[in-house]
Amino acid sequence: MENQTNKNTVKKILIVEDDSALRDILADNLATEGYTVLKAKSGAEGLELALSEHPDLILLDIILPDEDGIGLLKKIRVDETWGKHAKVVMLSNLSDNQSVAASLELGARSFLVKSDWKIQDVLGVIHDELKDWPTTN
Amino acid sequence: MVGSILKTLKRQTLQNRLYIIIGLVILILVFGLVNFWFGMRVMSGIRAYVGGEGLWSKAQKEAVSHLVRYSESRDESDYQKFVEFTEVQLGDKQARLEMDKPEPNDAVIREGFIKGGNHPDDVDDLIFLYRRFKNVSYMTSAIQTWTEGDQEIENLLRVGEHIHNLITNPIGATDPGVRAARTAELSLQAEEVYKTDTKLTVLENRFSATLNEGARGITSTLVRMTIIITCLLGLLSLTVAIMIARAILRLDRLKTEFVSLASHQLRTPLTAMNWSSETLLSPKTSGNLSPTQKKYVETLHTGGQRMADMIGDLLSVSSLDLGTYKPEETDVDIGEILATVLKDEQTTIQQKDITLTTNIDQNVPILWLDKQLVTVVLQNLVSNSVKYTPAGGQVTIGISLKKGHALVSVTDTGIGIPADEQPQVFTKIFRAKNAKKFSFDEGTGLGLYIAKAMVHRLGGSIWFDSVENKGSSFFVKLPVNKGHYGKSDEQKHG
Repeated sequence: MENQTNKNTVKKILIVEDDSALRDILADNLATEGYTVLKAKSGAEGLELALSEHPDLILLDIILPDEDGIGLLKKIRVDETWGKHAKVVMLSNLSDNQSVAASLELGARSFLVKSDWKIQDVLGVIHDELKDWPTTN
Repeated sequence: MVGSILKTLKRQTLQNRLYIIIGLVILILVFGLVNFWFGMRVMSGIRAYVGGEGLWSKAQKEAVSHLVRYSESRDESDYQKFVEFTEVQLGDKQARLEMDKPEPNDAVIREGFIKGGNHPDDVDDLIFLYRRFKNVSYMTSAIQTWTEGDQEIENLLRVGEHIHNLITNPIGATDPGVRAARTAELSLQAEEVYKTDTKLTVLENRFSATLNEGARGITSTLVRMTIIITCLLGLLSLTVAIMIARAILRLDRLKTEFVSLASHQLRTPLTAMNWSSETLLSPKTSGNLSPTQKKYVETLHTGGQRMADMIGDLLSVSSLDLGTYKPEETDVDIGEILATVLKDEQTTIQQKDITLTTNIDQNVPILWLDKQLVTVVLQNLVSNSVKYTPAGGQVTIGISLKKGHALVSVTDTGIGIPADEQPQVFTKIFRAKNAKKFSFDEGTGLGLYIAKAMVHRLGGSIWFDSVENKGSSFFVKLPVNKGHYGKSDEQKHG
């Protein structure tokens, strides 16, 4: 678990992604944009960080070493106080209809196929998601 | 036994298993052919013996008739006829005796059978059956009958000779007493001939009956063998078919798994590379790069982007070819999809100063189709027209309602498709010569193949008109089934 903090911002984003290069480039860009970034490389780490840190947004990969992102999302939703309404954007390289439908049914805000998206557009989606959203502490 | 064979077979590779089974099929086929050949020869042998017996019996009856007539007519020519007809039996006997020898002479056998009136072509079958089956019950019994018949023929010949002697003996021929005694003796001998003939008739009937019984037995065995062989061959063919079907299914699954692996394994590092080069080129960081560094990073970025497009296209093709893509119908606002697609092309359109015109007929309803497929089709057609239209050209996109279908047309003033290459436009990995020249490092040659496959999946059709150096028009017809004029689901909920 790593923490990358920018003192000027309060909005917290958790990246759950097993590929370190992708995780880092995303984290660097988000940090440059002024977000506090939390990074997890597995489902278990992601769940622990999510439940302890209550991030404003979770970027969740579908394929993870220990369990798939949809399973993790289900576990987050079990948490009645925070997890039930936590904002989640799915990141994947698999755009099969079943995964998209399952994610959206579980209340994911968007489903982004990483290779189809430029990082600037991903940042745009994140900005839009966090706009006018009360910050959790 | 069968269990251990199956276990051994299961341990083999698929290829070895196929070889083993094909080997078995060949073995059974060879066995079947040998069985057929053997059966045919046996049947042919039996037919020849039954035929030979007919000739034998006929000649025997003729011999008897001539001998009896001779005893009455005392005409030497009748006796000669008798001798002549008995040659048939003697010939067959010669063959039989020779075949019984430890080292028989085939020429002597052949000569004997031909003397017996048998057709030369049947001789080999006669010899074959005798040698192979002389110890088989029905054949042993038939040979026994034949031997008894030959003994009766010997008896007949002795009687014939006696009659001949009585008639031709010159001593006392003029003595009335002697003549009367001889006449009485001739009557007695004629009686003897009749008795022998009766015995021979019984033997002849027995011989035919025995052989016929054997023929019935062999026919039934042959039928059983044929059924067993056919069943075995059928079973093995079915096994091979099942194995091949399983192998094909397994291969399909492996392909799908490979596609999925490629999608994750190739796309993930590529995305990291593309996002990294994009970050380096972003206004916030590109200031730190020298012009040369920036140029190289741009090359990396363009290459990476192209590779991502190619992987995307290859994955679409695999998924379409394998039939693994499962379309899911939702409300599709085709105008809305076009707007998203055009947004992606906006930068290029502006850079190339292309005049874009869109004509959207408001009568086109919300369609009930797979949104992803419709999006990819439009993306491919629009990006092609923008890519292959020179700077300052025009792209016109129309969406209208024609005969109960939604018609999308994408027309450009681009380079067009050479007439001789037009038939290949929708084939895999095809790029027209002028397209390669115009934009060498863009395009995988898969876009229109994918578009056509997807349009078919959507239940629509795609076609085009094109003139080289003038431009192209691509048309897509999509079904309106279940379409409606209400707001789309997303609009309702969004």
